[in-house]
Amino acid sequence: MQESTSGGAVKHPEKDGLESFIYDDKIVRMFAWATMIWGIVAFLVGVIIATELAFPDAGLGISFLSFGRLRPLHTNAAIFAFAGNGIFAAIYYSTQRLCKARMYSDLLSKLHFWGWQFIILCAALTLPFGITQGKEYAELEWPIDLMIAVVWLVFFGGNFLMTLIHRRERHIYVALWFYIATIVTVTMLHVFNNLWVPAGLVYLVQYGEMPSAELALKSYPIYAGVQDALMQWWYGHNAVAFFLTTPFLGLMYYFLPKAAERPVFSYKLSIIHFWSLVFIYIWAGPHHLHYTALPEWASTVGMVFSVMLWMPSWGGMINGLMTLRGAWHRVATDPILKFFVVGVTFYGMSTFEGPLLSIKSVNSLSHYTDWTIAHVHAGVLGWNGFMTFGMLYWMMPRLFQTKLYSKKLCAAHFWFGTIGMVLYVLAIYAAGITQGLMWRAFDANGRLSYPDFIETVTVLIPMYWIRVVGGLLYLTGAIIGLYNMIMTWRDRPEKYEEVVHYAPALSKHAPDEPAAEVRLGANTALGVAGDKFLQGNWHRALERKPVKFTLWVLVAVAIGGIVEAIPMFMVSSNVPTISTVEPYTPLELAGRDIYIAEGCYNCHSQMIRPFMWETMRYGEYSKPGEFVYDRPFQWGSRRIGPDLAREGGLRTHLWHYRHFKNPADISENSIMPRYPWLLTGPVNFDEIRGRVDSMALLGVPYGDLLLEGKTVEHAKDQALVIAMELQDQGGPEAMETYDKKVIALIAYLQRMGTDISKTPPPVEAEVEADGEHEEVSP
Amino acid sequence: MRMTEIVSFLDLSIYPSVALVFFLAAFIAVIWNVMTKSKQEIEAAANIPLDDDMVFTPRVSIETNTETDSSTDSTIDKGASRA
Repeated sequence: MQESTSGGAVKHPEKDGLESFIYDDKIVRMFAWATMIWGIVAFLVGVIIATELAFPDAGLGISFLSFGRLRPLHTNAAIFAFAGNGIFAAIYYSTQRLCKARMYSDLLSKLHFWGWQFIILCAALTLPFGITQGKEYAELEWPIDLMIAVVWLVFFGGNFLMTLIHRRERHIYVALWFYIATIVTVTMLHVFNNLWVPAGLVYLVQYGEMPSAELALKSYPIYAGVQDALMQWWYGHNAVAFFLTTPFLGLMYYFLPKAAERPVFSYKLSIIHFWSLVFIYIWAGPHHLHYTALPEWASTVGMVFSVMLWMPSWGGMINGLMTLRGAWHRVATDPILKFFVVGVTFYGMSTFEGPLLSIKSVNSLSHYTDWTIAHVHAGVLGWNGFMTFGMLYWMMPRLFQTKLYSKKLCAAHFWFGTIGMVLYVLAIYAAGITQGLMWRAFDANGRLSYPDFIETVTVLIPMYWIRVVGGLLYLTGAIIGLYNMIMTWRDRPEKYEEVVHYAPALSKHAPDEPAAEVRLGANTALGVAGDKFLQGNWHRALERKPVKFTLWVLVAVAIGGIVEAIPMFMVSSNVPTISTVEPYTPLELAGRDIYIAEGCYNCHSQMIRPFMWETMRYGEYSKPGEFVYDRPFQWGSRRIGPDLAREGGLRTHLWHYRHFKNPADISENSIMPRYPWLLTGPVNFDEIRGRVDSMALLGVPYGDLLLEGKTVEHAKDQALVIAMELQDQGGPEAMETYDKKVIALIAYLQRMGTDISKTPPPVEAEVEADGEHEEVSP
Repeated sequence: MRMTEIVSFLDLSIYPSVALVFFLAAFIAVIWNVMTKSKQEIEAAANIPLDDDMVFTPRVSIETNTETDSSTDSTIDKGASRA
């Protein structure tokens, strides 16, 4: 049988040796619709929360509209719903054509589609109600995590890999390599960052019942503090790498040549791009934790690799832009190419800025400011958004088998999007750098120039309004896109034509590839083997063996993770113990869980960096040993409000009470939302047992508190003490407040960062504490 | 001796260098591999995306006649059989 030699099925004179197949475009249409619709939802929620920052009362004092709860919905919708469905549309369309095969199983394709939409629905039904793991971009709680694992790995990964195995094109095109890397690495990241103990199940096993849906969905990570932070940002950074970069590069390597009607500029460069990117990206995560309590060596590895990452990223960008060689005149008239050119350009800008931000000295300015927010929006709106829209517009006539409804509307979408994006990004860059410089400004007497945090917030409000306008423009563009898509769809044929394609099946061996020659006849066996190796057949073989290829990608991405993670988890000196740091009391633990549920970490950090301007503003810098009982860690990544690491004891209970009731009463220009529901919502004392028992299962020494009835008793006692103190300070009646959420949250806030200033116990007591019996501070 | 203690004895300051060596080795292998590929092979690979069919324009090169269309129906890979 004749084999394909020129990158495609050879025109075969007889049909006997050929297999016939039809591409499944229905699934691509489904993902394309989902992309457009979820994209609009993500942008709309983005506009809502942007408005809340400029005008805090926009949340109307309603719990599920508060910034802390909606921001995770926005990020998850943008990443997993919009970009996610976008890459699935791209992958299902291109994989079938690059493999000359229909997707392996229609059932798996459908399960993947509906499973993924169900996951998104679950996210929309949990995040606004405060059901969250409290780790950025990994907020979804454990049952949804399990669904993601099944849908992603089994339905999507399985279907994809089986399609590769049953393909009819010998060479696996580079776009597919990027898809393989995506599937393998996202699985690895998702699994390792979502290892938890479900508190509801612990309660169920212990007491034979499930007290509430809230506890049923609650989980605690097996990692604590510094280790949790390293794991989370290894995940967080690589979610950007392997969810928002590699699949979109695959998309670029397929759809850009299609739209430009010429092959990629350099296929050799694309191979180098792929392996360098995959190998380097995985190391870069710790750059999110510069100057935190993370050990210095890990931070340095993260920085060095991030700077190295600049090269392959720009290799990819240049490869993309140069693909348009000889077709640049068409960019002026073809809005699809416009989307792609701006998309790839934003990729270049973001991947230049990323390494820049990872340099420690730059990071000391940018971290916790809006600079990071501007950076990710340049990436997601520019790179992911525009590549997705470019792809959708290119596919629309092909999927709906008719002409695109309006090229003018397509161009309008492009301009709305571009102007919106530029407004957003420029305003927020300015906001970030302004605030960063204000935080670190000293006057001539060596005092902070802006000691009141709120001064560094009010100055940003005009830029926040520009962001709202920019976001609205981008949203408008997307709505135009949806309209264009609906109108194109309406003009579809009554029945879609299903073209039958023919291609020869692949033979087991590759007869068209010459075996390595024996060129060194008189040499040693080793020399001959080495010479054969250098002739490169091993990589050629790898390129056509999807399973082996996948395993090698796994090796490449696992090395970075293992080298960074193992020492972090193994070396005891990385997290020196502090003798005065003790577990949270049951009530404080419940309060901490409220802090997590309300998404406080979206605006407040809990990590004071060792800089003069930070220690003068917030107090002693944070130590790794302070976080050993923090599951999950809550260091945060953005200070829309001030750091809270040393909040404990700074203010009265009454201050906090009034502040939750209406922050503007305390601090006139505060942009923090009101939290009326915390003042009225009851604490479920009974289920605190499940929380404490789960922590104990993870090794937190709760000692006597685990005895029958002790947990609840301790929590109630502490709540009463705080409520009485609140009453004494002029607050409401203690009996009215002691069982409310706000008291638990105040208990936690008043504890934060106070342990290191306690007097260490005498030596004898320490020896005693080494035994089974350990005291818990009240 | 516990694993934690063993790992604690390691000098972690060499870690960035170890990482760099790993990367360089991989990078050189990839560059070598890419450079030894023939022009023909690279061109063939680069053209794969341009070689697939448009959805609604049947390939001219494939002799689809009505006679074989009906006969191939049973073997058409619609994926359903595997599902």
